Amino acid sequence: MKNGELDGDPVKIKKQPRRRYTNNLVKMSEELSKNAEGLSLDDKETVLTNKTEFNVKHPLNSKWTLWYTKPQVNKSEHWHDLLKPVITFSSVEEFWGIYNSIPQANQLPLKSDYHLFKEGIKPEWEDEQNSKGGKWQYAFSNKRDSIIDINDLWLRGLLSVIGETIEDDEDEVNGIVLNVRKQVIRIGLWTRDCDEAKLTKIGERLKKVLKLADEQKIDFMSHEASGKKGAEPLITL
Amino acid sequence: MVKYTEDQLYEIKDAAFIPQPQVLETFNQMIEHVKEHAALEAEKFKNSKWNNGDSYIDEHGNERFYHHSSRRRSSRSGTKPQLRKKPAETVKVDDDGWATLTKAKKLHGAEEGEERSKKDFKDGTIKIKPNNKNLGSSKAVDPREAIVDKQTNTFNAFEALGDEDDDEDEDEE
Repeated sequence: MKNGELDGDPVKIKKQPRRRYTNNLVKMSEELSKNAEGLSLDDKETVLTNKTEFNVKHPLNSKWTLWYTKPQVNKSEHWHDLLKPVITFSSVEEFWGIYNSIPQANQLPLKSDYHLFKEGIKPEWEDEQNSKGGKWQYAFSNKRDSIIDINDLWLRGLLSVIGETIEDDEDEVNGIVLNVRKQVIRIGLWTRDCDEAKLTKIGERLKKVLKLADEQKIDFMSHEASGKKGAEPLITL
Repeated sequence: MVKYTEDQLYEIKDAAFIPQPQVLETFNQMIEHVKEHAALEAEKFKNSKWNNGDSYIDEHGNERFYHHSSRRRSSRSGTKPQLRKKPAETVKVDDDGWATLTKAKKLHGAEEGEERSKKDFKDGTIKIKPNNKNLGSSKAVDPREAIVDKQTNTFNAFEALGDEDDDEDEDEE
């Protein structure tokens, strides 16, 4: 009898796992958002709150939030559903703990993004602190640059940002972004404004961080121009 | 402002501390599910795009699909599509009651064209249809111009200034 039912309705059998799958993803995504909502390091022990028993010895200059853009698995999901804050940290020890526990750059599924932004800044152009700025960006081609170690370059980018050696004291850098795509992997450094003098210095440092040769050019494009078709980069280094 | 160089940050790597393990666990699970979903979709796409549904079992016992690249050309089958419309056959019955199958007359047949041109020769009228497809201008050529070598008078300023008289003199001589 059961066999008969299975034979008679093959479409149902095919569809069920996918629906269950999508439901699971939605549930997990919601769970992650819930967990991230209550996320705050204010109640965590630091060297400042407890001098004898603490886990954090090396506080960072700024608090940083890791965001993740999930690839779309369901057409009803919008950009806002896909972009999720994962976790916020404020010390070097926490950074390494998180970094060691999450997938590396080359382990992410296609169409995924990692964003590491200062706490309180959303990795969107519309955010007040991004709206007047732009980004330095370089795209590593999966074919042309197949020899490069993207995990190493992404880590170097992260370290330069949290250690704040990518800039002097300008407080110009808002965050760093990794886009994993079929043809390319892009690393972008988001800035607060478009001041050419400050940006050139930051761009030159980013080139060193990403181990780029002189002929490998990075472009700075303002967010405003990025939305326009055929817009030219503001600076090329 | 606290700053850490890359080397300084690496020195602290061993002191790693995970602030909220449950959050990261959920995050990792989500990524795993996304990956599995992507793999399923890729497999589905591959199967739907690159095979016609026919499969065979290879020497290792795996089911393999016939891919489009191994499909034969349609011209190998020997049947070509009939693009020309067949003329309709009509039954004609003559006075004696004999019925014959006749094909409808061709409108642009070569035989008919020949007949027509012979007839035109007899009548003394020749119609030339110029083939202007290789001409530089896209403008259609007037068939009358193609036949008649039209004499043209052009204005010559030297002639107008009195060369005519000399010519006349020469003629007279």
